[in-house]
Amino acid sequence: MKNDVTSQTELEEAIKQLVVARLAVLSPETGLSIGSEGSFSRDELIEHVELGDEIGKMVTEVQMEGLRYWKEMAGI
Amino acid sequence: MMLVTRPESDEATRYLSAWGNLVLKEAKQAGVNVIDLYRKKANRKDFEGRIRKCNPKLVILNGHGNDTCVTGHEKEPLVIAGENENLLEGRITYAISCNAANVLGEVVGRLKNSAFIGYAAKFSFPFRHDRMHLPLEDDRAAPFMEMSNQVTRSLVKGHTVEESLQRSREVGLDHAMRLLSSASDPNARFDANYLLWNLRHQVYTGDGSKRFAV
Repeated sequence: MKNDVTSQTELEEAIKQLVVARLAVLSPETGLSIGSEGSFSRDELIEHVELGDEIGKMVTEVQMEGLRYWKEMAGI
Repeated sequence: MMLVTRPESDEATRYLSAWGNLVLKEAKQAGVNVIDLYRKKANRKDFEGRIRKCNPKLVILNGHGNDTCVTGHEKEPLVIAGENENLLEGRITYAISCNAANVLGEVVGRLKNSAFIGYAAKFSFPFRHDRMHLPLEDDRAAPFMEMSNQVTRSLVKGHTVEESLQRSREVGLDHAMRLLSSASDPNARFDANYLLWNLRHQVYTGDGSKRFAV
């Protein structure tokens, strides 16, 4: 059980780092409007993902869902 | 006749309003009578009054939203499930807002001779901070706005609800594929993933064969 928890935590951390790395290459003038949640700069998005709050989780979900979808489309 | 709400209270609504105005002009040129509830006019009193008085068969709601409602200027709720959704009976409604397809869309879709197109998740789009005051010149936001506008554009051309949704998805997917084919654009994958997100959560309820008759 302990190993499962550890590997889950490690996986989440790896995903977080992957998303942060993707965000870090965005143009500095990037903004993202997330409906009534507001608008966020690139650096703010990185902070939210690193914190793992609701905004960060949403950004991570969108990027990971996209990654899975395009990979499936490409038949990789 | 069609009715459009165009609040402008923040970045998101300013972008939706500016881009929505393009398709509104096209509709007018195509001979459609348009009621444009712009900025402060996008309030509940005017919205309800115009719907009752003018009986528009197509209603385009640009604004913020949640599972149960869509808002107007300064986030004033215009349509709320369980309160005044009956106003949308007998019409096609397209809500460019977050989450409203979940509950509001469900209840409107159950009304007689009605259809509701909307988003079952957060409607999100990237933009350029250096173009914030010129939304129509923002090339990052353009694919998202064009995908959204395609719903209205197709409805005005006489396509069914289902066809209009399909055409919008095709436009979104075309933009996403074009972005993914760009090796040099550092924003391409991020933007493509958000396009995919919006198009996968774009849904309709009710009568998918319904058409807007000018």
